[in-house]
Amino acid sequence: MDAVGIVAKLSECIASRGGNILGADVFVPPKKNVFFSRRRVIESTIIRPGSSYVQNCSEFVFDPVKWPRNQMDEDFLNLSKMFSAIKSVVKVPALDPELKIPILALKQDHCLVDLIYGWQEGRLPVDITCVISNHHRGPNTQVMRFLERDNIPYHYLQTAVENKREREILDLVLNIDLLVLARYMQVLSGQFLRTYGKDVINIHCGLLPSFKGGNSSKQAFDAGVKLIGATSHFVTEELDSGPIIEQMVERVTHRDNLQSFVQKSENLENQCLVKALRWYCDLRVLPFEDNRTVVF
Amino acid sequence: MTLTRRVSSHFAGFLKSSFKSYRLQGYRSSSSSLTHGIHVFHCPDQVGIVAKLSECIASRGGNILGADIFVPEKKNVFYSRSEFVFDPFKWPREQMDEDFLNLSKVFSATRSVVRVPDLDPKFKIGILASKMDHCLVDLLYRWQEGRLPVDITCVISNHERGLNTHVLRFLQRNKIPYHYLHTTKENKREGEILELVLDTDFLVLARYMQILSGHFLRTYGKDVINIHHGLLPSFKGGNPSKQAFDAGVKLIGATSHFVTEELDSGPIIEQMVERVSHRDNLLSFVQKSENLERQCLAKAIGSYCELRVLPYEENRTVVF
Repeated sequence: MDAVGIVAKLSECIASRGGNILGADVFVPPKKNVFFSRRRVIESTIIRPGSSYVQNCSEFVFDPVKWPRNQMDEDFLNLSKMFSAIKSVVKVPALDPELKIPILALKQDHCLVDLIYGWQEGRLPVDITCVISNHHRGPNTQVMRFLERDNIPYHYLQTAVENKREREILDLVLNIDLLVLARYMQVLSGQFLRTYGKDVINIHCGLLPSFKGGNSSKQAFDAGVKLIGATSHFVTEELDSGPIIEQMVERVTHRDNLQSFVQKSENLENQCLVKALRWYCDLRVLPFEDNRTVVF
Repeated sequence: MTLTRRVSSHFAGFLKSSFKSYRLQGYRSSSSSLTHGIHVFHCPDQVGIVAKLSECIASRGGNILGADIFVPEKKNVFYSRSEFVFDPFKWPREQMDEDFLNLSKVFSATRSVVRVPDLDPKFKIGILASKMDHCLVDLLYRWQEGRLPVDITCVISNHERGLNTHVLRFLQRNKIPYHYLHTTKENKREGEILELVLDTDFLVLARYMQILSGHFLRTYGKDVINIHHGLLPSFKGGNPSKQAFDAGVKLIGATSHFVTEELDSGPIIEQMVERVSHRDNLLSFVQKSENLERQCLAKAIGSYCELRVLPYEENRTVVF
């Protein structure tokens, strides 16, 4: 089946059940016969009819009485079969369980703290299943007290050059939907990523591909750049090279010292990671070609 | 701003010590004979520099409009840039040079430059470009509009342009020579370029795609400003738009910087970014990039002409 008519069929499906489409994003990259679309229900489909690609993301409102959740699943499943969809996801934020995420963090906890705070304020539509860190935190630290209060387990897994404790991390996160690396400074091996099999989002304190690796603030400072940034991206085997989700910048001048570079950077990292997470939960982030993303 | 006439080519240049006095024409009135001056100072740090500088200006009836002082922590160096107005009758240009020269001796200054934009001759620049001329065209247009306070001595290119092209007609109309110097791997024509630009104050590489050798830079001896179509240090070298596109970045940028022997590595003057998304293709990447390059280069040159850009440590800049 060809790519013409996909939008019609999808919208028809929604309309036939009394659903009202609130918004739609359609993206067909030229010469690639790939079609991406998003309408705000948060239904995300990647369809490949024949040689073309379609990505569809819809957002709509509906009456759960008229269109029960499992009926919705079945309807979209049928559509996805009809179009040989690579991926079809439906999410009803109010009904479906929130995205479960464990967070891996290290000693610098600005990102972790920001995530937890955002989650507490209800601004992060996720379910934090646990926090894993290779840095020991005393029971009286802000992070620990917070986690304790909200019954989120904290796992301290000390790492060494020979032992990254990946096995144990995998055990803890195997059934979780998404991994978030909030300044987790250990490199996850290809083996780990393949075994885990699901998405891992990382925040890099630098404007990739500049300043890969450690201490990017210092690298940026020494390079005399006038703009510093943060990049959130999916983790792949290659360090700091996975598909980029979002980037943000801020100006720096001669008046900045290393400390203010770091502070500005941390602020950017917080914002950038939260933004990437929210978009991901909203099904706005879709893989595109080898190493890119569509972000509706 | 001032009624004093612009003095033409009799000046020996603001940096040189020999200085001819001039006759002002036009009538005087209480405020309109005030002239704008800029002074930058770079010396080892100590107590009392600002006091002495401001005293110097005040004692000659000058009125400071603004001052930027920068003393980085633990580095024992002092940077300042002052803007002031003064009456050229009360404080002749020659006297001003001498006063600031004395100060620079007192503080063993690395650099002490005073500039009176309305009186001093404009900066003479040579522009080098290759085939892509969006930056060149933009600079020429700004210059024509009076927004680029320079004298374009010549345009040098390794790309031939027909007489009927926009660039050539523009240059011809404005009597700016165009020199086509074809380059090859073996011969970069640096000797000839040097001869053509010997008399300029600084050089602008407006997407000039040849690398200038260390020898050229040392022989020329003055500043060379380049525009790189990427956010350095990302995507050095050629085709950064394509590199950026393939890397899937969400922000692209341009960087203007001083040229050093190492490719795309000199002290950065200015950087600008713009968002890109999955909706961008390579063509729109390039278009957005070209737009950024024009703005970034023009800004850098503007800042440089206003004496806002000062070298800082090994590879950085202070930009007031």
